[in-house]
Amino acid sequence: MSGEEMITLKSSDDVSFTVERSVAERSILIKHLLEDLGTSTEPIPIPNVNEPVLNKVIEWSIHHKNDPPSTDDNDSENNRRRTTDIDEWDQKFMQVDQEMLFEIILAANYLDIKPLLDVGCKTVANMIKGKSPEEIRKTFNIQNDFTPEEEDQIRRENEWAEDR
Amino acid sequence: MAFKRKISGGGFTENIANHGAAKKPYFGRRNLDRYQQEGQDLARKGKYDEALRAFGDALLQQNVHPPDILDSRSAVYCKMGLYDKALSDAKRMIKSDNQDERGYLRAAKALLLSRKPEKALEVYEYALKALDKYHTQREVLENIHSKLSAKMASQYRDPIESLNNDCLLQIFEYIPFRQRVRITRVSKTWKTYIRGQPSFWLDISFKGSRPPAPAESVKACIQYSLKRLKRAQIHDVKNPLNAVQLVYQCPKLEYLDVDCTIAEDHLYKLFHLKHTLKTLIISDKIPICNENAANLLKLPNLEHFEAHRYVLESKRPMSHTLPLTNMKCLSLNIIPKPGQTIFRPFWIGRPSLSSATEPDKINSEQVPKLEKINLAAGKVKTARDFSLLFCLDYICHPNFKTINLSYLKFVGTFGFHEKLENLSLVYCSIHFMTWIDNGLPLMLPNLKSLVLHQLDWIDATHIHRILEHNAGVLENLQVVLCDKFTAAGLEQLVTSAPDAFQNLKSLHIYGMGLYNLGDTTLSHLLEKAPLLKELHVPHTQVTGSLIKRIIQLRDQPSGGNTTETSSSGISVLNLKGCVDVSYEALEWGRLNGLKILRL
Repeated sequence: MSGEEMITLKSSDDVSFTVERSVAERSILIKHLLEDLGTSTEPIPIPNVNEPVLNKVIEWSIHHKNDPPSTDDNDSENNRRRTTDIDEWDQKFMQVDQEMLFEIILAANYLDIKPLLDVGCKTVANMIKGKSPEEIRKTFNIQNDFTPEEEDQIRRENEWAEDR
Repeated sequence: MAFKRKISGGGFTENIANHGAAKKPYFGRRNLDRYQQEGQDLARKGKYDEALRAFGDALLQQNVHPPDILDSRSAVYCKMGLYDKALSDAKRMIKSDNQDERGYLRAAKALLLSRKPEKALEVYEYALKALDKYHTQREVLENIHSKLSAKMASQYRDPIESLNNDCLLQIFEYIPFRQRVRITRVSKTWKTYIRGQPSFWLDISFKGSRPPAPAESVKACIQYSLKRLKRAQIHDVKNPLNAVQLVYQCPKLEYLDVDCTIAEDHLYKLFHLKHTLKTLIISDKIPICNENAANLLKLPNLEHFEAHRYVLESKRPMSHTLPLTNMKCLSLNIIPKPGQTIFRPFWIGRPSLSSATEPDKINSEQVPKLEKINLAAGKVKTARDFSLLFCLDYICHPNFKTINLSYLKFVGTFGFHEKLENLSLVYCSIHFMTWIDNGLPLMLPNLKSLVLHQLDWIDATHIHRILEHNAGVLENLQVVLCDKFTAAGLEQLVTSAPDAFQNLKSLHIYGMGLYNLGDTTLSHLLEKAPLLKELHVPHTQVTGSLIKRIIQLRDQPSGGNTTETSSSGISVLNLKGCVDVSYEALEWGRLNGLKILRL
């Protein structure tokens, strides 16, 4: 194959990115769009994703462009206790501040890039997993807006679920 | 050694002068300045390596005040992206002078650059505690601190407020049920969100609740699921009857596991028409008579049924239960009626009148999907005295992949179908009518696991018959407390059915007949079992030589064997009660990476 077809994507803040078609097609949304459009040289607007986030998403897509298509569509009952293991490159990739992390997740959700969405969600799940309510508040800088009485009430309601 | 400057209220140049003059020969302030100046110039030109060398030289000067140099060097490290080194210089600065604000600033800077703003914030907080109340730079630090904490607050995001529900559902799926319950206490938003997602409450478990879960909690969980609950594990609840009544009312209940004291009638009446059930597990706290069980088994979607106290009350064959269209796994712990001697499983149907010598066979149309069977006759020590007769022909069927039998007395043909993958016989005896030695040859080429416990009638010949057609499928072999199985028998087995050991991963042998099992037999066995990972040979005559042999085989894979040498050999060795193994041998084995169990 001599020179893959190039696709131009335009972020919400009007920054253009030109990437190989196979990279762009990591997004099922874009893949379907390209199939509908046929061959077109027009840049594809991505209205919900701004430049820094689109940049990250493309970085991820380039690294994973040769991944085999995900086969874990059997989200059946027995598949629910999934692990939150993340491969090393993705772990590094996800070392961004929380704002960026959540933006990437939302972008992956919008662009329909399931493996990226999975990695993002696992990253957040790992920030929650095994932590006490106090630790979670600290992790996400969440204000405890219960009155001491309210908090006590919930604590009593949930006492059976405490780890011992 | 670099001197430590004590804060005595005076300015620090004065301090240097005092200490330096008193204790060390003066090497020339100019010289020192020159190094530092040179370093800074080099750094400015981007010649970082040379700059580092200059600073290194400067630090060696005796009249040096380290923070000055370290301050510059830390900055260079930051420029080079070596944040760890920058941080360690900054720490040295703080150590050498905790009133010098530059140390804190450098440390925070390095942390910020390495994307650890929380840590940087901690450094500022620490600095504000450490610095003198009237320190001139205090205000500056306070400023930076409040700016960073404001910025940090803006960088934190509450996931529940930042993400859409698609993403949140996926994230919370990874969080175990009980933690999901606990973290409703994070904030009002979290409480409202978690309690408001029915899908988080479809699979509830109260197992391990201490104190037991009160009725209100069970009720609340079901309410949050909007009664869409699918799976419930009712263990450790305060009011079991109430709990099962509540889950019964959920129209989509598929899975119920009950381990609480509830009257049989209550449970039966509630669930015998609960057609949505796919799995029903009833612990030994609730006796279920065979008549009731038969009706429960008629639940049309049931795939998995366990009754851990299955009481044979009526002798009436329960064939009206059949067929069990969807049943895959059946576990019964049978409590026989006093005086009852035979257990005739309900899937066999009525006794055939033709001949007593030709036992009834299973009719697979009656249990088309059944593949796993666990049968036990009461876990009582004296089982042998009133053990229940069970005809092995009842379970000889190609559908059955896993068969676990305990506390039964066998009659019929000692044979199993060749598709069998897992066989476990525990504390079973044989009736004199059992065709054990002149029965059909056992062909079990697919057997992966063979577990034989407390069988006083089985010997090496039988095991040989079970294993002789196994060409490397077997992974797990346990022969425990089978008195007729001797060391000589094992030796014979290794020679006569060597292929059966090819793929063996775990071997557990122990019993009266094996007391004189020694190193030689096991060495032979080890050669035939190159993939063995776990070897349990407690209370035998093995010695340190076995440990030595294991290590040898592991470290120099024998060329004779064609199997891949990638396996790392045995990792667990159980030598409990092996008195002939010396302490030194144990130590040596452990040093060589073996996990050796020894009392």
